[in-house]
Amino acid sequence: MSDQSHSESHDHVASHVRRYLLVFVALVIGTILTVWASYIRFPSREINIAVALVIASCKAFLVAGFFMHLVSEKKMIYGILGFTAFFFVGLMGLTLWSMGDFPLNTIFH
Amino acid sequence: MFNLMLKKSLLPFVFLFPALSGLSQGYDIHLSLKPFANSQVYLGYHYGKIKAVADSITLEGRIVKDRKDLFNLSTPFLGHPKQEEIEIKRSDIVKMSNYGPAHHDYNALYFTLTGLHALHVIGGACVIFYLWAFGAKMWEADPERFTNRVEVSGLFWHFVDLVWIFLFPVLYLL
Repeated sequence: MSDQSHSESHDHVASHVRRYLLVFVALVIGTILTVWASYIRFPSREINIAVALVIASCKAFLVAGFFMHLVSEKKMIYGILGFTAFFFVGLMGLTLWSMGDFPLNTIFH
Repeated sequence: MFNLMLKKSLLPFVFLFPALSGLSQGYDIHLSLKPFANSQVYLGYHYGKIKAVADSITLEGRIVKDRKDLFNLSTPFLGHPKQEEIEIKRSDIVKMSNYGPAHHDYNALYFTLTGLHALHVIGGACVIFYLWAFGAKMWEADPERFTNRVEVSGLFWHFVDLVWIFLFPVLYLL
């Protein structure tokens, strides 16, 4: 962050760059894994979806954690993130909840 | 998934409808249409009128009215039901592509998700280009503000990336 940026030495920057490159390689591997896993015939499609979303979540953790510095943040940021997560889950939950909610005698084509 | 959807929508040229209105009282309507080559047929039911929507002007259509007569002696066990044929007037056939978002739920979602994402990518790329080409002067004048700009645009860029991490498998692989 900006408050440490002045004291950062060259080595420090280099180690940061190395870390970001490592994360990049991990993301590329994750992408390859996702494509590969999508061709596996699991007993059910739900498993395919679960596997893809688990890999995507790991990649999301890497991006949010390292590229967006969330692994080393101040407490307040986590608080705001918690709010976001709460409302995101709420929105998804309300959508799912409303999926079966149709007026009587609705005709589906 | 997208290809699969296309193939699926090519297959059923015969649509089954529940008994709906005066025209179909007590009947199921199967629409059998002979579309030209790869043309798509979309049948919608709208305000008591049959509406056939196709993207080909060479559509020949007729509705085969099937009577669901369980005790029909000629078709004891799920055989071919008795059929009556009805001509659809040419004026009742609306010609349009049913791939348009207004007529295709999947495409509506697909183009909203990818199009909106593309706009964000373009916007983020513009910001990064500006910081790289014109904004970098600020590195001399006010480095702290400049690093904050890089930081903030980086957060935006990576959040857009985060969205794509989920969109890509959901849209193209599952």
